[in-house]
Amino acid sequence: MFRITAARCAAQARNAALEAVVVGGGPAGLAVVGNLLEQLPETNRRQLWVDPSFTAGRVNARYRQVPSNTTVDLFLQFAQSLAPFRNVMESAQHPNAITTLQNLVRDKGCDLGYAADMCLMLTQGLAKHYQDAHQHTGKVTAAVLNQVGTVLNHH
Amino acid sequence: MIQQSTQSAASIHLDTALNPSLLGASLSPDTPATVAVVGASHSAILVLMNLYNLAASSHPQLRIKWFSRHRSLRYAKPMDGWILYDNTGLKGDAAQWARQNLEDAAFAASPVSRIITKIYTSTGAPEEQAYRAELPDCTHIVQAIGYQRDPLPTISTLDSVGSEPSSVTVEHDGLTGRFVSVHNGTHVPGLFGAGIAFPERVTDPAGNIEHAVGFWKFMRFLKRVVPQWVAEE
Repeated sequence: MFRITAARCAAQARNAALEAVVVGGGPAGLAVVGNLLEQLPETNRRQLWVDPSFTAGRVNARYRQVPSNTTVDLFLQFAQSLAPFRNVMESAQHPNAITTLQNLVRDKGCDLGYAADMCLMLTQGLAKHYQDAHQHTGKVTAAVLNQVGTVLNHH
Repeated sequence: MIQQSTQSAASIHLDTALNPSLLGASLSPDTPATVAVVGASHSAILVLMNLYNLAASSHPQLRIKWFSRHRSLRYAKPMDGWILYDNTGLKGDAAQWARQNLEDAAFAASPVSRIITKIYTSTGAPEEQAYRAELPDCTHIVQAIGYQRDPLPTISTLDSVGSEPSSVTVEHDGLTGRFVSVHNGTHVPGLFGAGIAFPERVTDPAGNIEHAVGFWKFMRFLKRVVPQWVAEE
């Protein structure tokens, strides 16, 4: 059982009920949270998601003007491949980052800024619709694997 | 990495060089500058494009020295149902620009050859010599030689009652997403990584091993491995 120390808050008693701590809110962190929400039972999928700002990580902070290798089609597939993401898209107002992507040429790449905007939209949507993936602004500085856990439980 | 002692050129961070407006702002338009660019993959070609576009517009006194270990560039190539050099090959705009301007056959006739000097280096002594000869008159340097992770959390284990946590060095297993303790070779339970810092390791039909980096590649990997991660006790 991992005990995680977040710089701005100590892990609370709720820690025991967490299924996962997800470190990082870039495209992969977002995809992990989405997969956990989809794959774990609704009664048992509480997550602590930690990022310094929940602004889609380095792809948004530094690489918006970089032309992508990924095609527009595959960015859209990223968003459409998980039920929680589809729910966010269905409830979102138009126009939005997804509709913008849908209007680009599908079999070519695009500036990563469009994909970053998609991540921002999905991140904000998850915050709104999925409280069990709690977004905590902060930074994970250390993780300790407690190998002693099972021994202590016997006492 | 180039030894600090062989260069007085000011480093331009790769992330700045990948952003055309930031790159333009970091170089004075009125002063001669020679920027060394190291590397031959996607990032390096993008940096060359960005610098060349500045030289051809707002920064006419800009020149480029391009240091590469590869005489020919690698391009992604569609095969029957898969892509050769899918992760390491050039694609899209970068590939097109490289074909039209950087390949030996096109270079001499391209306006790019007035701005860019190509310097091929082979590893070891010849490369050291090339840098010693060519770097001194470079005012700036951009190293486009691979992604650098942000700092990671420290990992330690608490092994017995009353002891202090002891630090563990781990390596990522690109097939499962798990981490292996370097000390004893066992998987660290409950710890997983994905994304550009911890990419999936893939092998193509030709036997080439690459790291799968890209939004859809991350998603495809996670859809496969997250069920295994959550099934672990």
